[in-house]
Amino acid sequence: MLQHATRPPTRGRQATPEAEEAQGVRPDKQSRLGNAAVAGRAGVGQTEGAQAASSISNDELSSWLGGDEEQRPAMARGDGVGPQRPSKVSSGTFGALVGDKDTVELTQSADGTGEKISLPDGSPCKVLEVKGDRVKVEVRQGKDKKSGWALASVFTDQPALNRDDEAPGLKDDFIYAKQKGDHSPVDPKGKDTAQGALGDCYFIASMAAVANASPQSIKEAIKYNKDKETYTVRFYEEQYGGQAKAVYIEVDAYLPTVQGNRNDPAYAGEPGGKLWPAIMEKAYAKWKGGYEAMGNGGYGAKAMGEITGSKSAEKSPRSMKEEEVIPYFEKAKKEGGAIYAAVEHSRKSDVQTPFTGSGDQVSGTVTHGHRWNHIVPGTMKISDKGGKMKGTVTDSGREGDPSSKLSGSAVETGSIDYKKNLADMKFRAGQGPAKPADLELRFDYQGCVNPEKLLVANHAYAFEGVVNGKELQFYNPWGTWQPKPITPAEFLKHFTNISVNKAPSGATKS
Amino acid sequence: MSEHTVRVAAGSAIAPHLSAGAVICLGPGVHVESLSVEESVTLRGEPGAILDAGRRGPVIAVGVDGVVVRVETLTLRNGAGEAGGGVRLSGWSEVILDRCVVEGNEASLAGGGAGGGIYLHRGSLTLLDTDFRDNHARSGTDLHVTGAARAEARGGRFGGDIVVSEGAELTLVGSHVVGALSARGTTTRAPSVTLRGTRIDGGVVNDPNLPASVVVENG
Repeated sequence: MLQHATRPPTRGRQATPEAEEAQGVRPDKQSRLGNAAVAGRAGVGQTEGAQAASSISNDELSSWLGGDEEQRPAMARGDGVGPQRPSKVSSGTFGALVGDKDTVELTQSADGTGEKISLPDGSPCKVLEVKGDRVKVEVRQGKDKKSGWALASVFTDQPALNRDDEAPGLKDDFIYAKQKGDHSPVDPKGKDTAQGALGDCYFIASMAAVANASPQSIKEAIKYNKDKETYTVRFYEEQYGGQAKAVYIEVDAYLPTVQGNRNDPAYAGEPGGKLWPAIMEKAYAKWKGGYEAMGNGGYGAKAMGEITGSKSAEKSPRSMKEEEVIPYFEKAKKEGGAIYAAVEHSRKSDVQTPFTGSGDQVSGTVTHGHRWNHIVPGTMKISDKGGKMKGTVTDSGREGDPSSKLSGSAVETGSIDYKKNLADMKFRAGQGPAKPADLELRFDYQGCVNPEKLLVANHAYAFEGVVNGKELQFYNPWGTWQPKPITPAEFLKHFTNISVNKAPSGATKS
Repeated sequence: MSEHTVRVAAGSAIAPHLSAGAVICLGPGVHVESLSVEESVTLRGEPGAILDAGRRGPVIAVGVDGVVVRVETLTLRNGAGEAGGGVRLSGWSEVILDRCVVEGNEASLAGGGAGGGIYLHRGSLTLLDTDFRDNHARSGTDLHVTGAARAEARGGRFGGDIVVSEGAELTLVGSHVVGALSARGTTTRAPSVTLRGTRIDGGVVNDPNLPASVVVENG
């Protein structure tokens, strides 16, 4: 089940308790087709072997615009080279609208007439249709989706944003903005990383672990192309059989930023902080099909291998004895290993009677001990210990859902808000319990495994070092809420896997 | 590698018997253990045998290269991990599940989670008449095949979703997928899916921007 607490508490959103408990979302089932629609081979080869798109040439642009260069807007805002523009645009493509002013305009008609919508420059979009030199795009405006036509020349090639936790039908409400200057890594450290509003702690912790053990690997992976103001990021793609093939992904300096602050990266990175992690994250997102694709889930051992080109060794803490823990970490670190470890799930069950109300309408707030904890969607079961209400009431939420219906034969309408932990039910006439206190709620919850040491469940950490020869210090890729040193016993109790990745010789920290 | 058989009753530890060539027969009842398998072994469930990880890691994790792990007539449940709650294959090895049930497992990490039932990014997986139910993950509730891994299922019912991504290959023969099958490549490679006599109630989701090869041979 999705964790509230596995996203950073205050990154990329307002720092409220509600925001701290923001949930992620379920996968976007885009382009769902029936079986019949996929008979035969479907569209292979279009992207296979392709590298990331680079900036469009003048000839390409001219061709793309049908030779009508007068329609071409300025490509940059007077602050250097503009963003990457694709050589062709097709429907279904995600990107952002970047022009030469503070706003970009959409019109309702392809010929540039009709009602106009003004959007912040850098607004993310999805291409719905292409007609001549114009594209019809879908954009987010507040809590709604809007569509309209724009000049194709303002469309830029950017990874699709993640889906908004709080509005699952929409992408995140962030704006692509240029981060000027050269942000390639100079002296990379794990502490440079700070996870944003994306569920990719496996990747952030992997970058941090590699930077701690092998800063040269990070330096060598990111190259700044001064003339184009882009970055070429090298990853490794493992082929069947195990050989690693280098892939090079080029991204521009435009990063998703928080509304109202074009210097505050919404995903990896902090204002004023090192931006190489955000550049590397963006390149990884572009390679894998967007920020949402990388936020859907991953595996740290694999991600570290994709950064260094070396295979990670994995170990289960279950196979270790307490006295073996410190020597294991000391040896792995001494040998130049980047060390990544993940914390257990920690699901617990509880039974409560939280409901109050009158007549056929009841409501109740579920409690679960710590604000990092949350209800596991799909585990709620409400029964009437008094026996009047027939059957049971259950939630049907899934991973990442902010809320769910509460359903049962006796229920007319019901809902659970997983963020507020608030359950409401209206029963069919005469079918509710004799009194609300008779309703017994069983549910699972999880989130915090060790409040004293600040260890979060379902979360990845990068190893930093052994403290005083007897405790382990990990780095939380949130960049905040750093755990206190933990004992070997605590490590064995809470961590479920360790991955060690040794970069090729020559790239390790001396 | 010499084959030797050992019977383990519920309540006794399995891990000490995971030596090369071992055929481990699990007696009826619930065996609470999360196994990290590093040798070629067979785990054979007697009727009523359940291997339950107690949400303390994947039920079975195979991270090493060059081993063959065969699991027969066993229920794998209550596994949990950042990827692959039931089975996680991250080594160049082979895992075979024959007439097993993979249920109530979960993959979750940082708001994501790949392969609630099974996750693999290396090696090969063969599923023979194996059923999946009530597994949870954000990406591939029952199965997520990614990287350069290969998976094939013959028969069996997937109660949830399947995801095939990056350069992975998946073949389903005579299977039934209640959820959707999602296929998505990267900018550098595309996965390959072959469906023979297979029913997918939720349809095939093929990302138009990073498309997969999907071959349907249901005739």
